[in-house]
Amino acid sequence: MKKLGLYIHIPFCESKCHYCDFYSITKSTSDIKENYIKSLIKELELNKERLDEYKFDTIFIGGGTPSTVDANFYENVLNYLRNNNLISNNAEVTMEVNPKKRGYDYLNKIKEIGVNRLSVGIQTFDNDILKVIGRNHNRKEGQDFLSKVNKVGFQNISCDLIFNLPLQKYEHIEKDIDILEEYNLKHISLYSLKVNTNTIMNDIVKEDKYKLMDEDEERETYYRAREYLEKNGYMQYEISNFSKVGYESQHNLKYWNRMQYLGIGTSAHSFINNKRYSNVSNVNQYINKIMSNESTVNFEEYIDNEEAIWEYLFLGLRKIKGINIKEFEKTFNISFSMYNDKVGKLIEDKLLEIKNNRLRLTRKGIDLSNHVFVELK
Amino acid sequence: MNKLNERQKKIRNFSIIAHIDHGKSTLADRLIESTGLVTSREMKEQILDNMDLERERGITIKLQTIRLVYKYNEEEYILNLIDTPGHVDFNYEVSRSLAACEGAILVVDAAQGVEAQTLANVYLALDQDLEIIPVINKIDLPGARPEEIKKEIEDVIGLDCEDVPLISAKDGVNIDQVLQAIVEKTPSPRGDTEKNLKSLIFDSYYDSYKGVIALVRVFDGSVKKGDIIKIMSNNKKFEVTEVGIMVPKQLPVESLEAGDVGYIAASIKDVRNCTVGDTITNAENPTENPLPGYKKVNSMVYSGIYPAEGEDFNNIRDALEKLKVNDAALVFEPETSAALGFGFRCGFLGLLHMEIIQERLDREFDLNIIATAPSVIYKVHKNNGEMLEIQNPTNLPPTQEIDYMEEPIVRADIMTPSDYIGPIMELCQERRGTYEKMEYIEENRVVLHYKLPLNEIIYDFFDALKSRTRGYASLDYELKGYQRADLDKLDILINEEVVDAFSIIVHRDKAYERGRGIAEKLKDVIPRHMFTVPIQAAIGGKIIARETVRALRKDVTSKCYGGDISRKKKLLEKQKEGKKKMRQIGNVEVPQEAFMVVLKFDK
Repeated sequence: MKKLGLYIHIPFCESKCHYCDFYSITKSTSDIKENYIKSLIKELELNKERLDEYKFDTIFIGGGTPSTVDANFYENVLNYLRNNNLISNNAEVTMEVNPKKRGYDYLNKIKEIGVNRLSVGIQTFDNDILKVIGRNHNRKEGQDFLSKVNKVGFQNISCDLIFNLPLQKYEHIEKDIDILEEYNLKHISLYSLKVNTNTIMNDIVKEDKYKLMDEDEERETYYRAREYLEKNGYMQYEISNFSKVGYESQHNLKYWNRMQYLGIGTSAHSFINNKRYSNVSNVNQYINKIMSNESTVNFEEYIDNEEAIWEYLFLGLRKIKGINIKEFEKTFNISFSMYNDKVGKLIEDKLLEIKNNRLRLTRKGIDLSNHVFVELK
Repeated sequence: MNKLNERQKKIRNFSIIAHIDHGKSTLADRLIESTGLVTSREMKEQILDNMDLERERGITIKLQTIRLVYKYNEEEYILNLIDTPGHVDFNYEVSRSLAACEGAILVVDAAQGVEAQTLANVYLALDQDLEIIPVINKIDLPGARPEEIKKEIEDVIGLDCEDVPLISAKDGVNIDQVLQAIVEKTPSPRGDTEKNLKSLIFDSYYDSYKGVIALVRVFDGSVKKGDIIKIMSNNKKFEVTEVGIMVPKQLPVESLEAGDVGYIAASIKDVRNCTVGDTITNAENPTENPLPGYKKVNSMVYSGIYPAEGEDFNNIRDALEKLKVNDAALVFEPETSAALGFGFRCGFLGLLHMEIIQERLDREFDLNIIATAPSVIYKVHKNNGEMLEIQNPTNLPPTQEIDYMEEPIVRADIMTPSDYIGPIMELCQERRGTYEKMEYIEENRVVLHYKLPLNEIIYDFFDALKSRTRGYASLDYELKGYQRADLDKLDILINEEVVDAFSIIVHRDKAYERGRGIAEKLKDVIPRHMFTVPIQAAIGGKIIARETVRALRKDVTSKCYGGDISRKKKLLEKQKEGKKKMRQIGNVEVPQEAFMVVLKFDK
């Protein structure tokens, strides 16, 4: 049986965060949600034949805010997968949850149906900052939620933190990490805020109401936070991801390792048989298409060998340990010496380094990784 | 003899002269329409301006000529309309067109009145002893003030305006009055058909089937197919393959005789053998003296044209060759720049001519070019007595070898509403102008006479003038001669390396300001690199300004959303595309727009 990742997209949110530019709907009835979940199962059904030779060893329910949907709906999805023998025995099953509203009942239920990893959207614990960025929870709600997660018995917990937010200083991040330490976290994602156009955050920053860090301070914060995380036992394994030993996100590693995955739901992306494709993003359109057996794909590209090599490089290099040169050569049946010129220049610029037959970004290379990826094309 | 005079009595050769935008081309359209030669349906707006670029800018660059037939008092008259280019760069061409005529219609805008170019054109017409027929156009405009304008024309130009046609070319009002005035007031051509051929080339262009088409006015004699003709400036001889008239397409006729306007084709390969102002005569029976006024055109402004990243040098050469075929004023030769590689040094009549060529390369040939800062010709007197004419700053000898330098000076006439005298004087002063005098042409309008260095005019002087006078001022200039000046070569260094394409020759008093200005602007357009990029301005090795492009510290995407690798790739590919369009200068990637920065310097 071949292994496959499964991404399930849930496009519903309680409210829109000020920095988010993703398609999601904040006003939806349980009818729509129910129809949507039915459509997800039908989409799996439509993929049944191609899934014959596969088993999912990672499942990631992401969004949007998956926890806005009732747990019994997820039960239906996971039951479908189990009944069709589509899940590996010790599959990693992650769900993104928001601290708002959900409590013991919900957490118990999702644990019971097989979710074994939680990704909690904390972002920060500072109440003033939470307000400015439009999160619908405060510090206390965040902490209460995490202690419930602990009590219910989830072992593999991840949190998202964002830095370079309005009002934020490095000290805030350190405090956030200290708080998280109390809840036996295994994994922390630390993202630097990117201000996208068409977001409230963009207006806020433009109005000069709040100043973000300048580039030097932003990088300095990243370095110090990285150091502090490592001091606390969270090892950096990707540009923005840290974990205790053995707790890397198996699902996200699939992206960086160019493993195959199926994405279902609106705007979900798939990568199977050298093809990348994605679904329509509009919920009604998606439901209608699924219900009338139409294709939901709105984009697809076939990845040829040259493109695959570039993907392998720039995705693999996002990992701190980089790529194994032997494996690279074996995968594409080429000699790495082909890249002597390009790589040589980047090594000379101290952006890449080769250690133990692995090619990886230097610390400076991490900061300028887009430049490195572009040069490798 | 009498019979010939009868023929000539029915011919009128005339031009239309006007300030830009006063409606010359629209009037030409209406005249063509009204004479019934072209039906309204066939009428393409502004039929005389046939290049897109001309239509967009509302100016005529390449001449057109057209023969109209007009019935007046039951008799048919032949009206030869000879178009003139409407810009100061093409003064010489205008004067040759006018030399082919006996009369000129002077179009004056009913709202704007007499402008700098109106006057300049009137003087050119008077030089040729033309009968000037004033016409007041755009009477349909809300701001039209025909009575005042009449008085202005009488006062400023001294033309009688009692029965001046008040027209709206746009709406076709009173066009017939114009045609009547042409017949009544323009003298018919003189000249003796029995004499040896003497004809004036007032335009020429290349036709891929017939070779060079010379548009001529026959002053004496006649010419027909089979004749051997001689171009008088170079004594080159050709056999005539066809003569004809423009209606406005070529229409072959038996012969052209004294007084006629038409074309001669003689399988001439190179437009340079047959340039404007030259005289064509019969090789076997040549006329003694050529027509006066022939001048070889000289380039006044030079600029380097280089292929932008990814563009082929050969394509640019081919395109320049093609343009040259129709443009005797365009000169170019290959040159090499350390920064930009292989390219061409091109000479132009003036700034507009330069812009037109650059735009045509872009639009008609779809070429991606980089043009370097324009330069004029400097006379460099060396210590050893040698004198060099330098138009490329790179070729300037080392300072210690130079005794002194001279720069070209123009006499500029700026006409403006009196409200803007202050800003204009300020501008001219900034541009090292010498005030000569000011004339009031009416209560609220003046002409300012300045002596200005040409190298101050070629850097966005027009734009600066327009923006400081809300477009009300107009400019006319002509080359006056050379004048000694303290000039220096200003170099720009990027990452410690001199970039030759940025070098310019400036006046010593301006060097600091310009150097700082360019460095500041380059700082904004040069992207950040992984290392600090110093930008310096220097004169003779002495740094006079410095800016720094800070090293890039961060170019990283924090989050790769839910397996959407395609989007990530697209962003990286876009970044790659952006880089491809950059010019690599040493270690530094310089975008195309950086080369534009040195062209603009008004605040």
